[in-house]
Order: sequence, then structure tokens, then C-alpha cells
Amino acid sequence: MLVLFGSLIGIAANGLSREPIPMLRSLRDSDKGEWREIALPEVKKCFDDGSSLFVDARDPNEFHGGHIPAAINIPTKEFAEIYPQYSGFLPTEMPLIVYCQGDPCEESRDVLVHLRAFGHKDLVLFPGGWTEWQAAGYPVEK
Amino acid sequence: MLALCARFLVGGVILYAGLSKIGDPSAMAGVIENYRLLPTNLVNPAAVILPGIEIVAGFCLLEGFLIRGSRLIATALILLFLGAILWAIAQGLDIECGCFGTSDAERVGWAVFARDFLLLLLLVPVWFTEKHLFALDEWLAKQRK
Repeated sequence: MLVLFGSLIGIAANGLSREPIPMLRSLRDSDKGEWREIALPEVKKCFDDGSSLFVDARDPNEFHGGHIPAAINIPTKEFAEIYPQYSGFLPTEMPLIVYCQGDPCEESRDVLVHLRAFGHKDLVLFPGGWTEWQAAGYPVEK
Repeated sequence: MLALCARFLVGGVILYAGLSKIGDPSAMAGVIENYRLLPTNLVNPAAVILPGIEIVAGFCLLEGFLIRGSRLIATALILLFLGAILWAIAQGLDIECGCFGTSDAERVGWAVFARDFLLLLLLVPVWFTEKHLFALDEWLAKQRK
């Protein structure tokens, strides 16, 4: 009875919170179209028109070594600590392009899973990542 | 008297832990995910339900209400947390504990394990005491007589 009552309190609090999370939804189902993947030309277009925010999922050392200009760094392993620092100015409707070093890009997929759990709706994966961006000679920020 | 102090201390800590987590389920989901212990489809339900159970168990323990049930849940919760902490240490994970929400930035480690183990030890007198002082259960029993 106590467990049931506690569970109901938790569910009610989740419903009333600013960022409720879905209860009965799998967190890791990238094959179900929860985000789309885009290639370098479309990524560059988004970069040029400034329509999306870039999220770099690599670790901070790699990020500080060079990243897509204006990207923010949310490493997979420190997501829980770092995400709250940005969540205030990251509306869940904002288009986010997540990248890491390059294929298979597991870090990006993990960050996408987290972002989706946090309610972000417009998520895009750039599988080519930093390797493709740098090879193309596009702008770099350090 | 020892059981009373233990009840207040453990109940208070568990209640505070639940209250500090319940307002931000999305952050809790991130913390739980970092432990890499639960299947991903159970992360969100755990993040939503656990704080509520902590609040109820902590409050009941503090008030001495439904003590048998609340001490059982409190013990189970602490054992669960100890297991998760041991797992994280064994895996070499350098992650946020999330023991009191995400605002304290406390890392998982032996200090956290020792604190939770102390809470578990404090529950021993609560298990072996028949008549509890300042307990709602006792007061309700007197009212019924």
C-alpha cells in the first residue's frame, strides 16, 4: 500500500513538473524514427542559416581541441551534470544537431537518447561528425 | 529511545532525499541512466516512482505510522542504493550520486557507500523494537482501545 501510494505521488509530481518525462516509452529506440540523420551538405546548410544548435557529444578535451563554431559540449558520460547548466536556454522545441567524432558515433546516440528523455522533440544526428566537418575544411572554433 | 532517534534520523534523511528528487524527474532519469544498471525502458519509471516511495516511507518512518511497512521499504531502498553504489564503484563509473537530487553534485564513492551503510545500521533498532515512542501507530492503537 505504501509503495502504491508513493508511486502515485511520484506519477502525480511528474505530471505537474516543468519537464515531465514519459513513463511507458522506451528510451533507446533510434530505429523508430525518434530522430533523423543528415549528411554533411545539409548540416552545412543548417550551420549557415543558423537554424539549429550544434551539440558536441565528445569529451571536453576533444571539444576544446576544436569543434563546430557555437556548438555546446554535452559529453555522454557527464550528461546528468552538464545538461542542467544548459537546460534553461534550451527550449525543447529548439532544433538540435548532435555530433561526435564520426561513425558509428555511439556517444551521439547516447546523448540523443538522453535529450529525448528530457523532452526534446526536434533532434537530428550528424553521423559523419567532427571527422567529416574538419575534412571538408569548414569553420572551426577552438 | 535509540529506535526513536534512528527513526527520526533515517526517516528524515529518506524524506529529504525524496523531496529533493521529486521536482525534477528528467534530471533523475539522467542520473539513473548514468548508473547503466537498469534496462533503458525502466529508467523513466524508476525516476518517477522512486522519489515518491522515498517520501512516503520517510514520512511514515518519521511519524511512526505503519512502521512495519515503512521500515521494510526504507531497508529495501537503502539496500537498493548500496547495491547501485557498489555496482558503480565496481564498474569504475565517475558519476553523480543523485542521492539528494542533482543539485549537490556529490560523486559516487566509498564515502557515499559508508553513509548509506550507516543508515542501514541505524535501522536495526527500529526492526527490533516492539513499542515505539512518539509513534502514530501507538497513538492510534490507544484510541481504538
